Amino acid sequence: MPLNRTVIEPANENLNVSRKLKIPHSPGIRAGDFLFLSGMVSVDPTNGERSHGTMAHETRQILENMRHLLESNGSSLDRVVKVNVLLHDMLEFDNMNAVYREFFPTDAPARTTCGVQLGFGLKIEIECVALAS
Amino acid sequence: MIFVSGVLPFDPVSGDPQHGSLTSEAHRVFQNLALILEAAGSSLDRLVQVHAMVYDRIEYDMLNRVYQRYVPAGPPARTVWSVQLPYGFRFQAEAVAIA
Repeated sequence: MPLNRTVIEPANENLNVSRKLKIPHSPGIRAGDFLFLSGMVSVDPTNGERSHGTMAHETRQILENMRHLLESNGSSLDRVVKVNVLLHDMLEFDNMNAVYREFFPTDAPARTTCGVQLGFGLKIEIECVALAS
Repeated sequence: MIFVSGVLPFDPVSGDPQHGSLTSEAHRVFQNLALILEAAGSSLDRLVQVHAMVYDRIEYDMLNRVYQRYVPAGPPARTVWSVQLPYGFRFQAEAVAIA
């Protein structure tokens, strides 16, 4: 029996980067019991523009937007099972963690972090897999 | 499904970092991955996807030489990423496996 596959979107259209910038991805895909989210960078929810700042600022903005996307689709941060964190520089690892642990204070999901080249001078990108409702 | 966090070359008993060559670090990572999967009732032959993260793609052949000893038959889907790793390590692997 094939798994059901549907596109998931944030309730706040400003946060639908895929549609706004006409990039060939979806904010997320629901496949069976799992939600697979595209990588998210720091975006201002009031206007949909990239929101540059310190590692702490960008990390917080992404995780708040991720919470919004998940909750728009019946899921939540505590249903996240796997996270990939991509940092512009691994020297900022502790700065990212200080904010990250506020959003995943207990039984945190599986996670891998690495240092990569990111676009537009942004400092961090986060993707995740979560359980659906 | 089992989603495994990035496995780094730490000694599984002492927790000490085991920096070394790509070869020694990859061996430690795969041995640690096997321990994690077995603790969850799974095993290396139930891997479905691996992201193999190396500090420099020049080590690609060395990585493969180690890698195939751990998944000799019907290996999982794999992508090799060249990235900056935590703590100055040379290798990290994350994986998805069937429980």
